[in-house]
Amino acid sequence: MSKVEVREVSVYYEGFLAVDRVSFSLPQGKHLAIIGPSGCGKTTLLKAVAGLMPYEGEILRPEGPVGYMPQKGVLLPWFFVLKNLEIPLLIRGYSSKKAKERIYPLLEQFGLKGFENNYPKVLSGGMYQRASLLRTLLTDSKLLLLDEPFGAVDALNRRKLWLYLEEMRLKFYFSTIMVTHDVEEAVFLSDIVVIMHDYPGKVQEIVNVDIPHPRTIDTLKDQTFISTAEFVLSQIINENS
Amino acid sequence: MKKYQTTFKVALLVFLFLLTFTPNKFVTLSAFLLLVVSLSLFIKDSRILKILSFFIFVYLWYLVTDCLLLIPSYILPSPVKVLHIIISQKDVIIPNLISTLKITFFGFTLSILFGVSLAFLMHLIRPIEDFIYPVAVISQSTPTIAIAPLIILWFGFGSLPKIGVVVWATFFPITVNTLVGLKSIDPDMVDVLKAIGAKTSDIFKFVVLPHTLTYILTGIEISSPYAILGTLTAEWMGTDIGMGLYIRRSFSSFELGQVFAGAVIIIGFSLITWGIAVSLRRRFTRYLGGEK
Repeated sequence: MSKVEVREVSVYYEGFLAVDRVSFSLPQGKHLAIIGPSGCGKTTLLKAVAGLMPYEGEILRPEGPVGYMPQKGVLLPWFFVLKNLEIPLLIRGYSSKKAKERIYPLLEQFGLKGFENNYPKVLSGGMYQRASLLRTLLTDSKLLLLDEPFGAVDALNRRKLWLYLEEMRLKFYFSTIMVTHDVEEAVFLSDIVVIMHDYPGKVQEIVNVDIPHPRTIDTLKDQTFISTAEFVLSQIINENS
Repeated sequence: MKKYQTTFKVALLVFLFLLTFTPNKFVTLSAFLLLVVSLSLFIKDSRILKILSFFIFVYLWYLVTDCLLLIPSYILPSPVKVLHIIISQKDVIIPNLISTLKITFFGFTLSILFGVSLAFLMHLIRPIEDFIYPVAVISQSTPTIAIAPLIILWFGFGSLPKIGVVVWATFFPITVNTLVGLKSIDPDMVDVLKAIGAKTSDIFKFVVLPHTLTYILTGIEISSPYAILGTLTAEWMGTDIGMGLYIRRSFSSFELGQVFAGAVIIIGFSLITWGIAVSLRRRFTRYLGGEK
């Protein structure tokens, strides 16, 4: 059981129906993006999939720990970067020494070498998100749930981070469900785009993206990419006008 | 050029300082004022200014008492006299001081434990917050000076009622700050750990405690000057030993110099307590600035 099935899921947020009977399925090793306007229940739905919120309906996902990366990453500011990275391992019973042994070789790949013994406060925006991503990856979950992972990063660094995530997927082989409100980001980083509309959050359309991985900077000029992105955008605009 | 500027500044300061020793009141006070103004203009480091302000205050005290004889010593004893009393009466003062410091230490420690536990209880069990919070506010609106004699009356002259008064006088800021800390925990931080399968103890260790610690220490910082004052109030109401008693007895026999000596010692130890609280808080909040 390593794919994700969401069947007729409804979630109430503070008494309001935030997500209304949403269904989608994500095959093993594929990537899914949930896109829609603010307040359409994207984050709420992601939290339900992570098992952090009570819901009605059925969610099937891999057993065990889930890598959940909330908006803005939220590293723990009172611990050094290294300690932050250790935490998902410590929680699962690693000793601090074993945890460090696993983390050290990864620091370079994630561009964090030399910064491990600093507080997260000193990291740049891109580094901060990479550190958050590495922490999420160290949960050893094959399913990463990312809530606007690059929302706080400027437009230039954001594209670098897309390519970066794509590269990491090849190396570590995990699936992602990500929430975003950037159409290009959604199409570039996923195989399935779930378009939601608001009040209450419902699935409006599910779009498949037929572009092979690994995607590169040239993918942005790819005709399929452009037409899919245009289609997704038109769907969102039609619904909201 | 810069070198000459510094020389000029130092010369000016020395000149003004010497000028304050003239027997003419007008000249002395004007020179003193000019000295303070030039010091605050010349010294850019606010930390040095803060320390200097203490010395300037004592110096002014010295000027208006011993130097200019503006205020007679039966109204305001001079700092030299106060220092003299402290030294000559040390055998009387030390046992009283030790007793006061002991009560303060135990009372304040208990207050921290009580204040923090109360906040956790209020946070975990909502009805407790609804019930206790108004009572806690009422307790803080009751003047210590009114409640202290009652506590002494009910529980006698021992240490315990005095410790009770210290807790009464200091727990509230600690409780309120801890509660604010507990309520401001970022739920996303907890969610990340929960998704991994963290136990409650993990969440406490990694998120709740480090986050709340800053707030607890801020509460301690706010309360710390009141700890010694609480002891003093209790001792003022009734005791057989302590600085409160020393000051009260001195006051009854019109030994104003001794009252001031007692006050100066208390101020000194209040500052030390507060200083420890501030440095602790700074030590544990360095991460906010990213500083190691």
